[in-house]
Amino acid sequence: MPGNTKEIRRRIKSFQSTQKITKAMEMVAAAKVRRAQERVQASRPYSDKLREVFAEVSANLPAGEVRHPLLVPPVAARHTLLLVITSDKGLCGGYNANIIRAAVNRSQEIKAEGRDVSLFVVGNKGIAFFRRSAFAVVQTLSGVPTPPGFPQAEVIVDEATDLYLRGEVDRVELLYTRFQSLARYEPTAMDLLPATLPDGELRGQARTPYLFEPPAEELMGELIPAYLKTAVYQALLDASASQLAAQMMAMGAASKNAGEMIAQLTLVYNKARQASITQEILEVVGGAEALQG
Amino acid sequence: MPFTLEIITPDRVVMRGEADFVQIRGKDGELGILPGHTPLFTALSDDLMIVRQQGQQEEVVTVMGGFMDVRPDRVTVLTPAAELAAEIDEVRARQAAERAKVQIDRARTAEAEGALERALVRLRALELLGRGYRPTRPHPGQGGIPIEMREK
Repeated sequence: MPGNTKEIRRRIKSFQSTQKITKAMEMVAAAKVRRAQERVQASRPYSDKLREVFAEVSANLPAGEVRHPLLVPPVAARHTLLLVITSDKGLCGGYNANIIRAAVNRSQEIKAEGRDVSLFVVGNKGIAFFRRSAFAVVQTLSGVPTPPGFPQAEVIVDEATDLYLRGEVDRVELLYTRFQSLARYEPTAMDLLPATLPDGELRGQARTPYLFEPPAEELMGELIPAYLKTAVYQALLDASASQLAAQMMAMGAASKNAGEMIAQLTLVYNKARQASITQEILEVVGGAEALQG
Repeated sequence: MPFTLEIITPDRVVMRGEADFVQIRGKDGELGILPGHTPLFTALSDDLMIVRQQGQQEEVVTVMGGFMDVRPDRVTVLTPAAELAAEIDEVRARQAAERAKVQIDRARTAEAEGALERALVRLRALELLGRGYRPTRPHPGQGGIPIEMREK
């Protein structure tokens, strides 16, 4: 059966070239995930220090309620903006499916509370899904580089804050994939707006009396967005690291499966080849015997 | 007695070391910080920082907004973007300024004005670097925030 062996050989070749690609993608993802983790590390000094000064400034605010629109919604719109971070590209296992499912579930929860939901979707995969769905998508962003940069976080926060200050929504929630380790990354929710002051109980008990330029209440209006941008930046970095880790796993599994298929097919191929050789020998022997006889 | 100076962006620590004097030259005026400054917390605009340390060449740093936290023994700058003057690509800064000007001629947007301002801050930093700029010691009454000298 020469036709059959040829077909099997072709399929082995095809699996081999697929495996080459998935192996390469696995290695690229592994290198990138390491860089993404370094980025997460590199962002820590900034966020730690910002948290520290935020606490310091809020400790210097007068005790009692601070009426800043970013802390207390200007309009009770009963409308939540859900910011969902997905990736532009696929080939990363269940990464996008998981975060999209989490977003759908969260939206239904919010609706069950009697609130409206609009979505702000980052990443082509999420955009493609939610555009086809019945969810209201008010804002989208794609083309976030790998690893993401701070300017993208600034754009996202500025647009979300804009919707909030215009009174279209009175709550902003972030849904992203938190990176814990190469094997652990989970959809995670975080409240962005209205913001909460850190160390609320320390208010009015400043350790160091500060001079503020502009006054502390006004500074809050700049510190809160800076704080949100850092939170979103770290969420983007985490999401990117998770996506790469998921891609690494998915491509690793694909390479392994390709390997198994190649081994199986090789076995089938060898059997077929053996069978055809035996067949030929039998024919030769049979022919020789016929001549002798 | 120098103070500790840190300039931190979300991507990296741009500068971490000691300094005797920091000057901010921004559109809202000048601000000089000497060791022992009273605690101050201020928002920055797109500014130039001049950092002087005894026995060393001074550094010129561009700071694109953010905050500065001043304590008697420590100054921390938190900013979305900062560059040492030596890191600035002059050609790119000039191109960015040109592009922004063209853009502003066509339509005056806050975005284009911001881009122009940042490019100009970068070019000013390069100018200072080229001239081997020596910052003047600020004194009370020069504008900005008066310098508080602690005992010693």
